[in-house]
Amino acid sequence: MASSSAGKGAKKYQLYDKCERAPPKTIFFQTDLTNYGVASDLTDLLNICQALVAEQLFQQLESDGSACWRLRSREDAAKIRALTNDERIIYGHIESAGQTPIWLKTIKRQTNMHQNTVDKAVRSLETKMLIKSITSRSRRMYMLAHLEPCTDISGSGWHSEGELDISLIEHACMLTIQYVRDKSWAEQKLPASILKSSIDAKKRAVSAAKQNPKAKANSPKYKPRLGPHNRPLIPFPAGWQQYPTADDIRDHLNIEGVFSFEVTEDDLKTLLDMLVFDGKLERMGARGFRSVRELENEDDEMSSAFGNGLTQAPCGRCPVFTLCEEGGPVNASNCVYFDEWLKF
Amino acid sequence: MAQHIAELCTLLVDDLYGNLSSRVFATLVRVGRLTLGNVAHHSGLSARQVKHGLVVLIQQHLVLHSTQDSVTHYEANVQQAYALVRSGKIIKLVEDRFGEAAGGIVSNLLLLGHARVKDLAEAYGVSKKHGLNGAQVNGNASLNTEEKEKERTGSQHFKTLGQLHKELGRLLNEGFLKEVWPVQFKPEADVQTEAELIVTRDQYKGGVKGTKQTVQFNEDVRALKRKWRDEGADEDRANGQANGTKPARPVSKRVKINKYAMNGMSGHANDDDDLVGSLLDEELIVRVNIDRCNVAFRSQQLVEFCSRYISESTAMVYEALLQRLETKIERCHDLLVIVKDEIEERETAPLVTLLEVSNALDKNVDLAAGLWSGNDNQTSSAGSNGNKTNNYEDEGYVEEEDSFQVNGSHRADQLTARDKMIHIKSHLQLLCDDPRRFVTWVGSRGGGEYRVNFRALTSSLIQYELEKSVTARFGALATRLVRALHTKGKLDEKQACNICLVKQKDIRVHFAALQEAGYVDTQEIPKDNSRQPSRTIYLWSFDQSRCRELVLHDTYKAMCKLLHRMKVERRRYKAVIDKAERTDVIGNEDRYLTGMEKQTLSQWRDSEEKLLTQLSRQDELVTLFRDFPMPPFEP
Ligand code: SF4
Repeated sequence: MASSSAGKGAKKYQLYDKCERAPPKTIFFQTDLTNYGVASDLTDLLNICQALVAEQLFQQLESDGSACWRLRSREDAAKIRALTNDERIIYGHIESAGQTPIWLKTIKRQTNMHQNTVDKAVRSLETKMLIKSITSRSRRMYMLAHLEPCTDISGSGWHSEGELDISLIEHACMLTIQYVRDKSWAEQKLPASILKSSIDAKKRAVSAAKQNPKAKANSPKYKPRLGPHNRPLIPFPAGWQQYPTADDIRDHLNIEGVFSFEVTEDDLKTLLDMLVFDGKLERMGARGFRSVRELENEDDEMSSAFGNGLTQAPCGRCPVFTLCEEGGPVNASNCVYFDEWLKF
Repeated sequence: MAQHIAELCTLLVDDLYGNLSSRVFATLVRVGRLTLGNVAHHSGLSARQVKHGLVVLIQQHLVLHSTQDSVTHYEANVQQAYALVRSGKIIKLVEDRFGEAAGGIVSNLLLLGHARVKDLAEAYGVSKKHGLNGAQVNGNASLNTEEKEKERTGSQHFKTLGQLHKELGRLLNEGFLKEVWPVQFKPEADVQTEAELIVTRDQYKGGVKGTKQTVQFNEDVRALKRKWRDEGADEDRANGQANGTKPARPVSKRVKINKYAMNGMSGHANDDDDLVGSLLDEELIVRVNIDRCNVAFRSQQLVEFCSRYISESTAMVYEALLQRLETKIERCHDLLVIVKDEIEERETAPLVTLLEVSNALDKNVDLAAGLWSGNDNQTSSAGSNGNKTNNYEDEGYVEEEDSFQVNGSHRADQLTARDKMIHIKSHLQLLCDDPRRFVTWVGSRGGGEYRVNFRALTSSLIQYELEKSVTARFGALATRLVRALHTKGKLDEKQACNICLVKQKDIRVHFAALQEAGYVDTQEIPKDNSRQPSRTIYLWSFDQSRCRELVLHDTYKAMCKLLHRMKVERRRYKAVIDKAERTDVIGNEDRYLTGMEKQTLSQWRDSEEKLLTQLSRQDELVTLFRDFPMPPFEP
């Protein structure tokens, strides 16, 4: 019993040490931690993380419904361990608000604590230099001592004269995507074997078509974009550390971009988030970004990769869909959209 | 909304089983549970006609029935009726995996609803009393014509009874066929009531008291229902409820796994009829197991998802992994098993090891393809491949023809076992590493142990399809908004603008369009009691399951339209179709059909095929939206 817990203790610090080598503020996902190879299996890993969270060395976060962790420095962790319960709860709330300062009243409401308790805890945290206060619109707000308040949005780099500068944003997107795309996928180097497999695939398709003359030789649904040498693009191995990070991208933009301002961390974060929403980039591991595998036929309205079974049919995009019913004035028998679709 | 699925099912029944059956079916769908007399009343058919219709429908499992106090109620089985549209896909699936002969069996069973092994053998002309040609196979008229056809094609599939039994046994063991039990003919509500009655009678004589007992009671009921579903009816039930279906068979005969053992198969390549007659129970009644097919369809869709985002070769490894897992999964979602939370689900999820994947993998898959064989030694752990025939320089994509003549030296069958493992492992790691988390690493037993989080993946896949709908209908910007809402939760207009970097006036247009179509919702939160618009916050939100339901019903409706249109087209070309289908014309088209007629005919065939293809694609959406999602956790 004792030895196993000691083993876990050792593993715990092993994992922490490995994580420490990553740049500060890195967020670790389960796969990242697995890749360090400290834990023997998943349960083990989760136990270790749990232990680190309990020791305040890890901060547990959530992203897209899956757990992830951020490191705290040993000093911070020690300070937090020394806090009273109330203080720790309040610290947690302030910490989770991140770069947005949080109002004292909000804290009180969230924690459901008495005014006095909150006041006392906040004061104590302030003297311990864990949090700092900021006055904004005559409200006293608090945030973690080492963070800078996020810029008021209307002042972000993407605005000019109080309006979002769409062409500027598009320019930045283009630069970002190009930069990331070049570092995201490797070009297949074994044309012989590729050729072989694709020939095999074709043979199979042909023989399938022969067996079932009704089914047209169905071309593959997805046509991935090829590399500069016209060969397929393939992923880098798992755990690849050289996907561009936010910092890399920011440096690139600040050098290459024709911006009248310095792109800040926050500006870039918004931009990257947006590109992720757009399905252009995806996060790889703790810090990297990769371009989403591109398809040549995805934006082609006529191809099978565009939309789905519903939207490809006339009804899926029909303006009178809700009105259309058998026996009604609009129905499938007299439908002009169908006529057109079938003709094509 | 339910009207669309009802209409769709009626159309399908009409298409396959004719007008009489579809009128009976339509009545049951429209009115609900009815007795025979009531069906006649509501449908305007005579009791005789209704009876005829019901016989067909029950044989096809399209109508369920239950008898209480000697009154029989009938209920439409919408699920089964919908599955008619999937028949082609199911046959193709089985054909691809188990060959043409197996596909043939499944195709026959889909047509018959269910069949006794003995009768199947007779239909295939391989029964012991071959030549007697018993026409009274389960009293189904439609078999007769089918039978003739089978005698033509079927005899090629199976030369001996043994072969047929072997194939049936394989399909049963793989779960694509299942045994027919009385409980399958009953409406769900009756099964529930009956289970509750029995559990109360046996275990809760004094009634159920308190929440704790209620929970236990519900679990006991589910356990009993599971037993009925998975093992057939028990004696208790068979005695208590003598209904029109086949008598329950002794439980002892049903052994769970590998129950359809093929005794003495191995030694005899040329089985003679006498020996193999004892292979499967002749009286066994089998049907196609749709739940199991759905599991296979889920694998298919996930493999496609993977090939879209990673690569075709990794997708092949994924396919092997998923098919291996399929043997450990009976259905996509099990309503009779309550899962408390994620942790429980994780702990009970089936696992698959690297070794298993390796064994399941097709020998011809080129494992090296799709793996980066970097020259960088630091990354060799994942990228290394055993035979480095081609040492390119870092950036040097040497265009020399010679150096490319490696000629399949990377084929799986020529790799050493160790290399093969390393390759497979690299593929599996890619699957783990992908943001969609196609697989999850669990431990290192068996060379590496993995799990698939079907719940999360299904949700990603659903989101992916919904977003594709949104892009196609409202453009890329709308998709960005939907994604932002899906990730961030509720947002007001200003927040949404800042997150998505869109101008307020653009965002309004898109939100309005999305809201009108029902894809996003808005919620008004007044800041004070004045209820003025200026003092109100409008929060936008996106709810995946709501949106999924919406698109699902739209899809049903669109499928109705396709079927309607098919009828219209058929009517339009009726004259020439009729001519082409005349028995004297079939096979002699060139002689009897004019050039004009042939052209019209091919026009019609094209449009029919186009409509059918679209129908099948829409069915894929239904599978995804309706059959894959798992029931929510119940803590
Ligand atoms: S049948 Fe025609 S009118 Fe009706 S919904 Fe479809 S496309 Fe629209």
